[in-house]
Amino acid sequence: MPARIAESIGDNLLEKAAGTREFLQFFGEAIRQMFLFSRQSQVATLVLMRQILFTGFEALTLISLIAAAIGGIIIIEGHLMLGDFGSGQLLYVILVTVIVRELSSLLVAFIIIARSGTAISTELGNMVVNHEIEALQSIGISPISYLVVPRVFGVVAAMFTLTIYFTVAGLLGGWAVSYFFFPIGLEDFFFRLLNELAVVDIFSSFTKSIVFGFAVGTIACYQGMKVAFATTEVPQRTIKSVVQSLTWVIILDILITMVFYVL
Amino acid sequence: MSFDNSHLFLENITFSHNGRALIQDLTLNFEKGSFSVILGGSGSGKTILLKIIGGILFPDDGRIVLDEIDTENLTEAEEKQLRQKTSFVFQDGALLSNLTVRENLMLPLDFHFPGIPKSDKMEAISGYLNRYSLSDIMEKRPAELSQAQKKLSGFIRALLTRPEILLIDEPLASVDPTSSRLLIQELVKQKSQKTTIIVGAQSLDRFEKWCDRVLIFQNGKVLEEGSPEQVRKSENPLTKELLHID
Amino acid sequence: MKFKFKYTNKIVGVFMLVALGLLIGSLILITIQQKVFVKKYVFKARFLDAEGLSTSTPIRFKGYEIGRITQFRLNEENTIDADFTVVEEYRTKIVENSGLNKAKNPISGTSTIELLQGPDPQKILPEGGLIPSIDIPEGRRLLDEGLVIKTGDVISSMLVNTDRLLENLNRDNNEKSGALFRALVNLADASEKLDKTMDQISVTFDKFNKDENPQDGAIFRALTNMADLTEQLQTTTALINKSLIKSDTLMSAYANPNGLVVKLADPKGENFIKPINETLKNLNYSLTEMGKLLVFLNEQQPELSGVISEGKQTLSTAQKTLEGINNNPLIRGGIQSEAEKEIQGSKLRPKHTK
Repeated sequence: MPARIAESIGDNLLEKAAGTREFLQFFGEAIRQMFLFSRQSQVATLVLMRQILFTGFEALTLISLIAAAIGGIIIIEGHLMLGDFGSGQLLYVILVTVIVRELSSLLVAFIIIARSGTAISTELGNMVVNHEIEALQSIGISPISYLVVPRVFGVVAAMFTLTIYFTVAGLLGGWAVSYFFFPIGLEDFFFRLLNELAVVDIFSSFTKSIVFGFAVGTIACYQGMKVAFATTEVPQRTIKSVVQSLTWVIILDILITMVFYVL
Repeated sequence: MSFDNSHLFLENITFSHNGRALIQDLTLNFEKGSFSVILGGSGSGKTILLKIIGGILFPDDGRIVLDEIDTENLTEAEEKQLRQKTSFVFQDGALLSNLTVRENLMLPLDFHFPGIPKSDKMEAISGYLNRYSLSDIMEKRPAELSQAQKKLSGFIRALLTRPEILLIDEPLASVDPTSSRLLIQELVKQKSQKTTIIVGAQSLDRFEKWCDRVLIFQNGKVLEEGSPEQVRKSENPLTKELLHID
Repeated sequence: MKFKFKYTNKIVGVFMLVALGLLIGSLILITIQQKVFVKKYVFKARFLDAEGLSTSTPIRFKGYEIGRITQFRLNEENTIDADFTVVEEYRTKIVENSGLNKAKNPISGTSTIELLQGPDPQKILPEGGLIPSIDIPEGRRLLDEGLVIKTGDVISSMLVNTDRLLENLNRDNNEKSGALFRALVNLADASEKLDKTMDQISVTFDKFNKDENPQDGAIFRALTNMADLTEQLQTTTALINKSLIKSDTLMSAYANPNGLVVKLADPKGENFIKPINETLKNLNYSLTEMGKLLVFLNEQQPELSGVISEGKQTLSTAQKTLEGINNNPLIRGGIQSEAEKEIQGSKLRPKHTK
């Protein structure tokens, strides 16, 4: 019995190691092709633009609504928590800390994982099943340079752009709700906010958005491309893509926050 | 081992998947401008052989020589050049589902001929689509097309890069008679232009009149080969079955 | 969808350019607003402790931010040495004999630091000069010598009145001579005085609300919401009045002859008197809290509205206590003098108040 358990653990570890090696190979090739992107821009630009359109522009309404609602909720909760205790300037600190530093990039990443990460995995998985990847190979086009690189770039660009919109919408939502508690003009609100906002907050937020975009795009493409033959593999790979993306986004968030604010 | 006038030479090709040998120590030569039909039943390995020749699958062992160039250890530029010389037509067309027909057809042209103006490329695409009465599907996506339209579009995509080797998997499967006629006509035209044609099929049917060579394929091996007349005389039960000889 | 595909490049271009514009715009605004490229002068500060200090704690003057703490460390004397920068525009506000008043927000744990400007605006402190906090001896000396003034005048006068009230309430420290009735008479007196005080506060705050002159009442303008504050204070006044009306009722209850019966039944006061005594101690405590509130109010202008909220709770407790006494059937008897007098009105009175 113990021998069987040990064997099972060993097999599992070997499988994990093989999986990691495979991902690293994929990742390495993706990085290499990213540097060669300009050479294939004629065929890949269309994919890139459509990825930004789908992941970024089409998610703008959703992101803005969520951001405005969250900005408002933060103010309401903050106000309830702080009561009347001289919370005026503190609200700006809360908004900057919660929305700009943390939530903007994290929530945008979550929404993109749910919306585009799944779509990318499913699309690429189905492309494998329908021999579309092989069709590209037969033409001589590297699927990584044509399908993966523009998608990853597209997700990064969309994530970066949406983070800006999320921040603006979140702060506007915060202002709109705080207006009920502390009637203050939009201009005045933003100037007080700018006082609390440090350049490092903006840089950390956008570093996160770029890194998250990179992680989500790469993982979604990898899982999609890992589909071998059957359509039944597609949803399984999509789930794996979501789980891995969420895990990595949180790990990277902690690491980046530590780099910017702790170290 | 080498052949005169060899366009494509496969030597000791072996390919296995999940421990099962799908192609076994296969050596074949295809002359320039020849029209060969690989005849085999489902799972005989003919599609895999075509994919190996097309550079989609890589053999475990053996080598492929194309135009006297060993396809192993090629530079990126050499590989691109060889890819342009070889075109593959998939059974179901394998058009990219997120692109329109026009974008699908433009893709290999943009990749292999980035310097040619878009208008010239569009002219070539329109010419082919008009020839097959498909100009109205130009802006449609694959999901909106019939099986025959997909296959013909895939065929046009393969022809647009002016290949020297044309690999076609089941060209007449699920294709209406008119489209079949158009396809055969195109293959005859390509043959006359010295394009090496290799077709994978389950039935010789309409190719018999035009092809030079038939290879009877089973379990990843060539069971028998020769001109259509020669294989017709075969006593092998499988050959007889594939040729519908009672 | 076809429209989107047709104009993909244009849509994506606008989508990204607007976002980049917002980003660049906000970066420029931050740079301007935070005066990133404006010359800054470094001064030294010393505090008793680092409670609530951070590297970006603002230094305010008249409620307006003129600089920020850049770094701080514990020195050998176990006080905190800090550096702060002041932008060029406000460099002249840092004059000799100035002090700093660090006030900590009890909720957020953050501090606000108010510059208390020295008496002579012409004597500009050279760069690198030390400005002590008024919680360390050097800073206290500035206060004692009247070189800096810690608070605004109106609050101070309010505190004086409140202190007097508390003194009246606590004048009778003699346990034996201090009979309950005397205490209650004092309380009634206090009620009258407190009413007057609160009327005065109300009038003052009405004036504040009308005040349009930027030179006057600057301390209050620094508060986030002036109107709210006044409203809260008026509510507070109403609460105090209510409490004290109940005190009057309580006093008449003691005059009730039924009380003698109770006194006979409980000659040692074990059963009835002690609990009532406790209740009264609570009342005294509540009033002490109110006194503290007003002192605190004076020191913590930025947290004023929060403190008033705290005061409202205190007064609400006082009101409940009095209600308890009134409703207590045992009250119809005598109560001995208060066991302990905790309140020391003079202690509550800040030295610096006018």
